[in-house]
Amino acid sequence: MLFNSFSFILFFIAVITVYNFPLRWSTRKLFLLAASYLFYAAWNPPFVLLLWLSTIVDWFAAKKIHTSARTGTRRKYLALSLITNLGLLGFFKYSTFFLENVNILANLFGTRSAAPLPDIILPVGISFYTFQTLSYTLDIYHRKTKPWHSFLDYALYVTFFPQLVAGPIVRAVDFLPQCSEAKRTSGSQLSWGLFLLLFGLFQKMVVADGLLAPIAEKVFDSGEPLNFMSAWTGVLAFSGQILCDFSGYSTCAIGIALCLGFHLPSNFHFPYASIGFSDFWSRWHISLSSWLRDYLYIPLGGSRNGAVRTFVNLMITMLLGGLWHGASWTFILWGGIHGFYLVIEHTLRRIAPPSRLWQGTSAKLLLVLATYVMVCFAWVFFRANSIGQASVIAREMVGIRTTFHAAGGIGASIAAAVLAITAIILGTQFMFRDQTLEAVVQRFPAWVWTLCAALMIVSLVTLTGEDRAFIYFQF
Amino acid sequence: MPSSTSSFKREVPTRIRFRHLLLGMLTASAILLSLELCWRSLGYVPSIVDDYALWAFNRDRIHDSDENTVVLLGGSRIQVGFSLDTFSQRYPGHTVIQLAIDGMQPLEILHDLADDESFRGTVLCSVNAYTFSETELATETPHLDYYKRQYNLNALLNRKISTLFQSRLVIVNPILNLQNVALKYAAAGRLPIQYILTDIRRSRVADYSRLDMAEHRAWRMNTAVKAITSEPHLPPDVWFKQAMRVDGYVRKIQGRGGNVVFIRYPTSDERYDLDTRYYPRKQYWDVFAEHSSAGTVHFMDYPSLRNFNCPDTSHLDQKDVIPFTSNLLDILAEKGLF
Repeated sequence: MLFNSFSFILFFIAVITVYNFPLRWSTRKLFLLAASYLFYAAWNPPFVLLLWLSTIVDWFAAKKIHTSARTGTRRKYLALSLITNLGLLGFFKYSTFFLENVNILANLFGTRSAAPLPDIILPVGISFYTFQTLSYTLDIYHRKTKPWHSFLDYALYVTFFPQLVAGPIVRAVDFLPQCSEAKRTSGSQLSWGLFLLLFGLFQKMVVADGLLAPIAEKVFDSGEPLNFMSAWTGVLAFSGQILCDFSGYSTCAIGIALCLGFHLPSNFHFPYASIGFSDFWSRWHISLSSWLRDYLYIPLGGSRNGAVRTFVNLMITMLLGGLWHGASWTFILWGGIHGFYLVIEHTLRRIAPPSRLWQGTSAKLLLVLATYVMVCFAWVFFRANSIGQASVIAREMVGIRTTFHAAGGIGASIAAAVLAITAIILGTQFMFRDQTLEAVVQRFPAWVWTLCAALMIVSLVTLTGEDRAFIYFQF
Repeated sequence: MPSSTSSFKREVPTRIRFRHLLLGMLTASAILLSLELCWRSLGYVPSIVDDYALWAFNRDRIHDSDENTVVLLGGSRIQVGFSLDTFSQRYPGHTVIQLAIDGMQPLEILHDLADDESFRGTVLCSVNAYTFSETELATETPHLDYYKRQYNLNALLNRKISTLFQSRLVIVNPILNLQNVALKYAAAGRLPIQYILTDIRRSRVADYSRLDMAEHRAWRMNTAVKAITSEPHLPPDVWFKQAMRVDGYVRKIQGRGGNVVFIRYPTSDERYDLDTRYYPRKQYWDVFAEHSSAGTVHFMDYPSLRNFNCPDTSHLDQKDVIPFTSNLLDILAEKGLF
């Protein structure tokens, strides 16, 4: 069930209504759990079994890890959790990719290999909920927390529908305590939650799908010849599209959860106003980057074992982060590029500590733009259909002609429009980079937000594009 | 233990109250109502959006079908050129399902019907020689993929609710998407022209009197020339082998008591000349018709079909659909189909 669908509106109205009935808190949580399973089953009912498997295995494994004194036993149950979750992920998401590469490798060595490629449907949200349940068992293994006393609460934590299929990836320590006290939707939570839902839908349906996606597709999918202008236009359009699509979804998720009285962590914090790549990864898909930091980078040693080992750890983390996004070499390369950026940044910090020169607004803006441009180069690999295509686009972006056509597929007026939208996104993000969205809203009078709400609603009816799946649903 | 994620519990801003959202909604409703009335005063009317879910809904009807079910396959020609009402009035005991897809060739769907054991009815499939070119044979239909992998109760519910809005409101029509309107106005100095209407059964009518036909014909021909000349031109013997690959689908349907008729819909003037220049009838269509297990109807073989003019060279106008359908049904009845 998509947030931008009529069935979700009906579902949400029904859930909010029943949720606020004067019933026992445990009954209301059970209702939320059932509603969450229904939400997930709306895609493909059999895949609810996978959710149950992950939930039950990790609940059981976490209890055993906590109660066992022997390290061997604790490791055994941790392995059970890891194998179950990563096994599910590996099978559904990576088995076809793995076999494709086995075939390629075998053929390179002269063996005629044609292992049949399975046609496997990727369960929606599997990358998210497996990471979420893994964080629970890992936190218990590292004794950062204790197993929760209520299986109902834990099952709700895994399955909570606002964040189930595309995040934010929530930590147990952030969600489970919220289940202890009974909640009702307060007026302010409902108002702000609904506004966030509206804003998220506007970002996704109007800006991402309506304005930017058709332009990005024209460059990446049409096969038309490119030039400097069209390459940049396509990449800028995609950079805006993926931001508005994914942050739009997260904004919707946070808003919906708030309508139910639950707080979810922020997942985006004006990422295109980042100064450097450490800053970028503290602002982009925050729940994933912090997961990778806490459960991969730090256990690998983080920055504790010298420069070389730090760089190796960064590269491993980012390469795997790229792989998490998709079973394709382009995603791995994208992660590798960001890993490379982080290595360079760490090196520069060691040899040239920050200077006061870079503290002024103009200097900061310059750094923000430089970071953004490099992020855009990396997006080429994220979006491209192949490494070859990414290479062509990247070369056009730096002015190396790859074709003899003078004209690309994009006209000057479209390029100008994309540039204008990009400038608005970058400008807004830069202005508010050190504030939260809540603080920004509080600064302006109410009539501004009334007008915004009205315009967003009108836009949702009159300016939406072709219905495209949320980009992160494919992960 | 402190959370490792940033900005966890944030203060809910008090600036936005429920009354502000309500006022925003009321303001938006007033704007949308004004827009709706404005579009209607300019002559726009509601029309159903023909999306994957609508196609899947109609495809799903096959499961309740019997030998009296007639399925229409093909592209836009049969979608605008066959009157479902005329058929239903003449054959009230039959069910007709429109599965033709604008801009797509029908062979993968024919294959799907052949493999569907529940289908025992009749297929009327609009084709031309170009349908059997190599690229078109290999073309996957995203509608079929959607039907098999994504169509479910949730999709059906959304489709039904969408239909409620689309059948009553003009502002939800994609041609009146404000971005589309602005781009159209900037490019051509006029608003988008609504000359095609679609209903819930996926039947369409085209009113070409609303268009600047000289401009539209030129665009139509330009598109056709690009499409045909971008394909490697197949010699008759190679083309014939490809065309006969679908005979297996035909025999499968016939084996279950069903029927398949390939229909060459009318084209006019320079479009017909283009078609026959690249695919001369004697070497292509006639050879196929002679060897195919399916029935065939070529519009040029019947006086009652060949005198219809296609205003855009490729599609029938709404005023001609009922008489054309009536004449076609006469011919099919003579062939013993109904």
